[in-house]
Amino acid sequence: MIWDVLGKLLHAFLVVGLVLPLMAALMVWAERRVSAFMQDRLGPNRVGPAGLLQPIADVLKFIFKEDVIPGHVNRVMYVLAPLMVFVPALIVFSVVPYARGMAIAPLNIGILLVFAVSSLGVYGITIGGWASNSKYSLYGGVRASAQMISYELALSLSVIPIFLVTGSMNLESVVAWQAQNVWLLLPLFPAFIIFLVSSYAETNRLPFDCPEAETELVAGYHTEYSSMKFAIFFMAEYINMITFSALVVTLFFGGYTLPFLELPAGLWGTVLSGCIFAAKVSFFLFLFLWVRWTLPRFRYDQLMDLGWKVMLPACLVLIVCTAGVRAFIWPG
Amino acid sequence: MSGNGNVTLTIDGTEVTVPKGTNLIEAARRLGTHVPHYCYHPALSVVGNCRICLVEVEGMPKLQIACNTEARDGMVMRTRNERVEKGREGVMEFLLINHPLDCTICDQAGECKLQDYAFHHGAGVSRFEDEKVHKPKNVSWGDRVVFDSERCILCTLCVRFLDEVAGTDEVSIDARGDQVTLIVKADGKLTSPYQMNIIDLCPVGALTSRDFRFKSRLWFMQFADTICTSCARGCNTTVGVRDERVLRMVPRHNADVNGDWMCDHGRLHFAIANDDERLSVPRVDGRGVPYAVAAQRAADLLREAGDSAAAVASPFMTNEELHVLKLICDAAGIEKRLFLNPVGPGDELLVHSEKSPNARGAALLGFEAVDQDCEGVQEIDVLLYVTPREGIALPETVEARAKRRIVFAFHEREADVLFPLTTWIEKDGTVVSAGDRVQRLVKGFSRFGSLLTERAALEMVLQALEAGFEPAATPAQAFERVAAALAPFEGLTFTGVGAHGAPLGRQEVPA
Amino acid sequence: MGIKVVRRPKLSFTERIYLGPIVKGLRLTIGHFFGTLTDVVLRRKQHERKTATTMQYPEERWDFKDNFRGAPVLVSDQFDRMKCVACQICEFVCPPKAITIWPSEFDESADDVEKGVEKYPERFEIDMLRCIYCGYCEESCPEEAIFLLQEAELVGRTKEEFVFDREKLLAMGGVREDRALKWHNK
Repeated sequence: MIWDVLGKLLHAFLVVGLVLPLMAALMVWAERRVSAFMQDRLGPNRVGPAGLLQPIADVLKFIFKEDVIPGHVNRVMYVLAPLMVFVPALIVFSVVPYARGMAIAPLNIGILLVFAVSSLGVYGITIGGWASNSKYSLYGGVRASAQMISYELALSLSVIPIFLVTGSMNLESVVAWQAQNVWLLLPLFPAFIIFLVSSYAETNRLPFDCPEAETELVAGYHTEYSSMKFAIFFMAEYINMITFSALVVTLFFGGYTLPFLELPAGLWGTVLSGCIFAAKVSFFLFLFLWVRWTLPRFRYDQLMDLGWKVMLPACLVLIVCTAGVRAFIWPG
Repeated sequence: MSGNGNVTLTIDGTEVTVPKGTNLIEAARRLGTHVPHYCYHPALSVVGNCRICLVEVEGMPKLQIACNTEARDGMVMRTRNERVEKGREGVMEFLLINHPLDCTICDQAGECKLQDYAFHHGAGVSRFEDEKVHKPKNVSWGDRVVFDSERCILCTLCVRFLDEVAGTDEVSIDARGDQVTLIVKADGKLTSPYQMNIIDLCPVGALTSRDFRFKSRLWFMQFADTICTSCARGCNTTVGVRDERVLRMVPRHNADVNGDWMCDHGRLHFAIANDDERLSVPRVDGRGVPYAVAAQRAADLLREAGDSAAAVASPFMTNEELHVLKLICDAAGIEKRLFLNPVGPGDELLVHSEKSPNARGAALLGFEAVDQDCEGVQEIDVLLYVTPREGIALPETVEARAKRRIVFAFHEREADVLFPLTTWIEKDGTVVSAGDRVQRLVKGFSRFGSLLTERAALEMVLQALEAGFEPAATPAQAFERVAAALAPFEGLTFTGVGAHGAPLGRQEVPA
Repeated sequence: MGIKVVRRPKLSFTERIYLGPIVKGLRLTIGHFFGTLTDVVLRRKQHERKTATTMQYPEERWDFKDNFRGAPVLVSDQFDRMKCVACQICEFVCPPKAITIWPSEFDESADDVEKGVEKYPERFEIDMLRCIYCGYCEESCPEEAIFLLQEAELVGRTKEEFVFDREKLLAMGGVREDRALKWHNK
């Protein structure tokens, strides 16, 4: 019993405490190099082979920077806010089956936990913006709360057809269903599009990074943050990207499986499934960067229009249609 | 036809009337037309050997040299047309054939007539392809003049000056053909006390000054048209200044005072202006203080002493400074007003026996010339003493007769209040030169940034003595005050004195 | 002048969903991405690269044209003699007054050529921080003693380090042949 608990803790620590931050750091490097390549530049290529050790240099810089807390902030909230963004980002990943039989917390209500916890992240951003006691930060925080609440609706509604189809909220079951039948991308393509677009809004990535909007708000909610506290905000954004990429893969792209490929039993099968999962996630992470360095930012009213006037009705229609299909044409 | 010994001629289509005997260069000058010339100088005899002053005279088949052609009635002369220019171009080509390309190291560059005329009248290129003639260079003509034979164009201005003006006749032409050169007759060294004038006369860089040699290019210097203060003559000079340093002093034309010359002594007599060890701030009891503090202390001492004080002025002070000193004496009730008057041997040409610029001004302003024994000054409380630049000074024994001393001096010394003295090139003002002529000093620079002239320092003392006194705002205003106070100055204005000075009025001047 | 109303163009449905332009944009950026990636993977030299324009500075340097104007320096002739005779024309023409020369006269110990030159710069300083690399000094020098190098990388920690003295300038300048040798024929 005690070993069981310790094993789970170790598992959680390895994935959440080690792999995810490392991936996030790698993403920072990837973002800088990919953006450079897309702009005919070379990007950081000096520290280590191909600049791969650049994140370490960045982290060292962040650690050794003076930890400034401006005099006009609410100190308690100001310090707490980065963590309130960071911790939910880590927790959400725990329900994702990242390889065969491997999830930190294989819950039956996995997807509900995702929405429940990821919604908490908005508190961190809003509180950070408010506690900074600066007009840019406050604007950023207000924008973030409105934006994330709006798109959470679309995000959650777009997932409902999946459960209507698969009949389970356990992500492991969703993957299993896809392995047996077909990737949900095909039957539920509109849901995929809505989920993808909403996840960009949820992670504050371009073209929906209105809470940061450096051309308008300096740096949005983290204007007043520096050194490690800024780094934590930064890490949280990248971990969120990883999580949502993982969710897209899990929900619509068959998770760790590949069609027409029987995973071998035993350890090798697990490793292979992990690699498949990682490859799929990598593509969506690259898509995040690709989109960022291609599209301009939406105006805030356009963003809201899209969320409430397009995404939400589309979701509702989709749910009704899927339910209708499930009820009358193809009852499972 | 014009009578009265005048002749009328036409120069470049314009009629001009000149006295009989005037040559064509001077006649053209009256119209503002410059005829180029090297060997001609108005104060020296005409030799006509440089040939650059070619002009065309109607009725004469060949071009004539303007320096040696007298103006005649009805003469028609042209100073610029194609024929004249071609003639001058030819002369320039001959002069430049053997002239070395020394401009890069030649001190004359920038004020060299050869450069100027080559620019205005030369062809711009040389057709001469052979080796140039080599002659002695860097020849020392004593410790003041350096001679370069290659650069010499044999205009003989130096020969004629030393013969006709200085009267020493020391230089002559030696050898013949392309080896012709100038030599110093005696033992190769010049002796004349006016020898450095040949450096100014030399139209090229053949004669350069040992003292000024390579110190600065002409174009880096700024110039102040002031006067020399080495004797009462007050030769008009132009002082070349760079970076708060006097680099050279050359005579400036003034027909009423010095003509075109000055003596070597006065010319080389500026070391004190470049002295870095000079006092730069006033001192009270040996400590450096602001001017206001020193002035207040001096005023306190003078007020306490009253009649038991004596003022010993310097004839190197300007009229304006002496006037303020006089006002101080009036305000403090000082009766003993003296000045030290350095004298020495003079000569017939320019050097005056009074070895200071303004002994006359000091006398006019009521100061009494005394020798350094100062018999009139015995046991006194305070001595206000402006030290002369050189030549005479109060012996310590005389200074010791005073209990307290207020001194203006160049260098550190024993005194209760010590003000820095300034040199002639650091101030504006007027002096009364020999022949009772008022002449202006013009400021070239101010040293150490904050150094005040004696006038400004004395005015501060006077202000501390007399609350109502307003210092003069400009040199012109200071002069107006002097002129208003002295009868002989009647009718003179600062601008009227101008660059060339003006004689004092008819009033009797005390000896 | 009346008011001119500029109406927004009415967008069609395909225009309103932006998909076409988005795809077009994505295609463009990914093209550049792979172009640069190829350049990097193949380790192409700067002039061979298709898209990547960044210069890898210490390894790759600018290819200056012949008329590039860099640091001004003094040169010696083929007999290792300083060409400068301290005529101070460069000091005069220098627009930012970066050049300062202290001329002096050769003394008795000088050799024959030096005695012919008579004058030399006892100190010759160029303040490279003031210098604007205009090349007037080179252009005006009558002795061909000062030249602008193709050197644009001057590094130092203090202002004083950038005041280059005569020896440093001569060492940087090296030798340029003097064909006239006019001072040798004095």
